[in-house]
Amino acid sequence: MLGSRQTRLSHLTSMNKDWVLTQESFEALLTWLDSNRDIAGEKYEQIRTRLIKIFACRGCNESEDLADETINRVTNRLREIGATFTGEPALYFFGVANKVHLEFLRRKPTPSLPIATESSEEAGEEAELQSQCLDRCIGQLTQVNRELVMEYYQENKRAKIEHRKHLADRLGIAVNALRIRAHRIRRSLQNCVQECLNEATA
Amino acid sequence: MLKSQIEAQKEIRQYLLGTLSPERAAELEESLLLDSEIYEELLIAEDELIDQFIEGEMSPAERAAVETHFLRSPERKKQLSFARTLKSYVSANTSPKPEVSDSRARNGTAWGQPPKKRFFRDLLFPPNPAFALSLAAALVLISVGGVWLANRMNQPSQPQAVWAVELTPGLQRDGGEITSLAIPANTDTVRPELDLADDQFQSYQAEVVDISGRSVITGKYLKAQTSKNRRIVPFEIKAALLLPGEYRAKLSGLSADGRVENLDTYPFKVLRK
Repeated sequence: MLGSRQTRLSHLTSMNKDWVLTQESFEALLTWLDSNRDIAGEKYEQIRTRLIKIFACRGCNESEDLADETINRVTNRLREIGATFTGEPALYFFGVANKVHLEFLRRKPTPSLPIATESSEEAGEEAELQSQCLDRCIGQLTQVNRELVMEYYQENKRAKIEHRKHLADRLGIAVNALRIRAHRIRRSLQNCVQECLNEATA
Repeated sequence: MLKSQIEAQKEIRQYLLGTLSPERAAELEESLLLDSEIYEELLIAEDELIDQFIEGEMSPAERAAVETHFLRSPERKKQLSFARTLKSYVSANTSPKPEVSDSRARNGTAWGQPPKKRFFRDLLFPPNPAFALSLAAALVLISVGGVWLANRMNQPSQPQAVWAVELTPGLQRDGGEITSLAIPANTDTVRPELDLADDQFQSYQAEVVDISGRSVITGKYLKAQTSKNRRIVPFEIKAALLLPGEYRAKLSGLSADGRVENLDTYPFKVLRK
C-alpha cells in the first residue's frame, strides 16, 4: 500500500499539483524517516494521519489534500534537509504544514455560512443502512466488548457520569481507563461500519 | 502532559472548538505529532464533543462553534452521523431505566433485554388523554398505510420498496435447490418470511450470515405472524446489504424465562443484480 501511494491533488489549484510522488522519492522519504522500513512505514502513516487531523482541527475541509501537499513538499526537499536538518522529522513536517496552511488561507477564504447538521429524508435512508451495518459490526465484537459499549453509551447528562463510574467500579478499572477502552471499541466499530457502507454502496 | 489531566482535556476541547489561543494551539499541535497519548486524547475528546452536541449538552456558543468550525471537515460529519446511529442503536437495544433508583440493579441490566411490559400496558391504556388521541390517530394512519402497502405489494410489475420472500428451512423441497433470490430493481428492503414449523416461543431472533459465517444482520424480538394459513417469522433487511452470494438465516426461539433455543436454518442465494 505504501509503495503504490499516489497523491490526490485535484482540488489544489495554485499549489504544486503537477508534482507527483514517485516510487523513488517515496523510498527516499521512508529512508529518511527510519532505516527500518517497517518502522518508517508506521511513522509515515502516523505523520500523515495526524497532519490530516491537524488541518481538520484548523477548519480546513480539504485536510487530506493539504496533508499530501505537505508530504510532497518535504519529499521534494529531502536532499537539502538530509544534509542540514537534525531532530524529529515530524517537526519538520509541521513547519511545512504551517506554510501550506497559510497559502491555503490566502487562496481560499473561509466560508462564513453555518454547516447544516440536521438530517434530511435522504440522510434518513443512509442512517437506516448505517444502523443495519452497526448491528452487523456489533455482532462481530466479543461479548465483553459488546456489553461494554452498550453500557458505556447508555444514559445522558448527570446520569451518564454516575453510570460510567459504576461501570468502571464493576470492571475494577479507573474511569479514564474505561473511557479509553470504550473509545477504542467505538473507533473499531466506526471503521467496521464504514467498510460495510462501502461494500453496500459499491 | 505536564498539566493536570482535566486542564489538558479542557485545552483540547478549546482547540477542537477553535477557541484556544494560537500560541497554545501551535504547542498542542506539535504534541499531537509527537505524543500518541495526546493524540488519542484528542480523538476521545472529538467523540465526546460530538456526543454532547447530539445530546444538547453544550452552551449556545459552543454549539455554534461546533456547527461553524468543528464540523467543517467531511470526516467529522461522518463521525457525527455514526454517533447518531450509535446513540439510536443503544437506546433501542437497552432496557428502559428501572423505576427504583438502584445502581446495582441498573448495572446488572443485560444488553438486549426486551422492553418492559409496562411499555405495552401504557400503549394499551395510555395515562394521558392527549396521548391517547394521538395514539388513535397514529393507529388510523398505520391501518391506512398497511392497506396501501398490501395493495402495492400485490402489483408485481411495479417497482417495490419492500420485497417479501418466503424461506423454508433446510434445502428447498422442489429438487433440493437453495432458494434463489433475484431481488427486483428498486427494492429498498427485503422481507424474508421464515416458515415456522411450531410456534411455541414468546419471540424469535433471526440472524443472517454469509458464506464465511460473518453476521450480516440480526433481528431481535421478532413476533410470529399468520400468513396464508401458515405461521411465519418476518423481518427486514436493507437490500443493499445483500450482495450476490450464499447466505443462511438462522432462527432461534426466545422463551419467557430468557432461554434461547436454536430452531432452523434457512439457506438462500442472492443472484447477481
